[in-house]
Amino acid sequence: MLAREYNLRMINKNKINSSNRPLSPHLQIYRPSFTMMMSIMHRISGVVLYFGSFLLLAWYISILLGPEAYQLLNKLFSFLIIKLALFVFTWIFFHHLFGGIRHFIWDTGRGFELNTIEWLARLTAIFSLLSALIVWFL
Amino acid sequence: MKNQHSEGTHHFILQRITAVINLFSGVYVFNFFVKSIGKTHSFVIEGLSNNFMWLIITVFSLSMCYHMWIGFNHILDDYVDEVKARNLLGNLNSIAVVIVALATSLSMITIGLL
Repeated sequence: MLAREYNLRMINKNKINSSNRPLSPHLQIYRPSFTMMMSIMHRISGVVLYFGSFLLLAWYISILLGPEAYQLLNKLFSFLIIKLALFVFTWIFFHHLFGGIRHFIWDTGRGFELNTIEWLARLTAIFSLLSALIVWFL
Repeated sequence: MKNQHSEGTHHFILQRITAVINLFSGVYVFNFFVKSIGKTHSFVIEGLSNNFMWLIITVFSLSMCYHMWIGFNHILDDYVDEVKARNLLGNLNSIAVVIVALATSLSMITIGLL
């Protein structure tokens, strides 16, 4: 489809949306649940990792630039608060990773029973924290 | 112009292929990154030359960039209805992702091969 045609369609879609038709229930309607939080976290963790990729890039470039640039970044990483942030960053990475595995299970059409969903969410939380701890302290 | 209707399945499949690549290479890269904190420059350079670590980082970055490009576009599709703003943010997304992918690959290839 041409770009112009697509944009026209999108504009039309917005016009339809701007009318006062009833909308399907959204986030604020539902009572927050653990599985819901974990689902939202998958998206939030994705965004955090997106911006975290710039941090990794800075690290790669500092290695390329040589010992002085590298030491500068290393010094920054030595602060406790930054270290804590890096730990949380690692945790978020594993959270997104295990959340992704959850999606792979659902892709096969399995694991949609309420009980299983609840357990998959719990396992995601447990495994992500465990993995981050293993990478940092083992 | 990012996630057109005809691209849905295409993106669905690519998001999963890159996810598998990220799963294996990402764990390796994150482990290397965390273990390198506080170490000397020569230690990290040696780590990068061992077991083709620089190549794994390059593969991870390229796969990750494609994965996050699709992901971010879908977030924009969900929350940004205004066409102009959506296109602008979509283009910024593309630029950011290309910068990360190119800069990482070039740094790693320079370190690994030169």
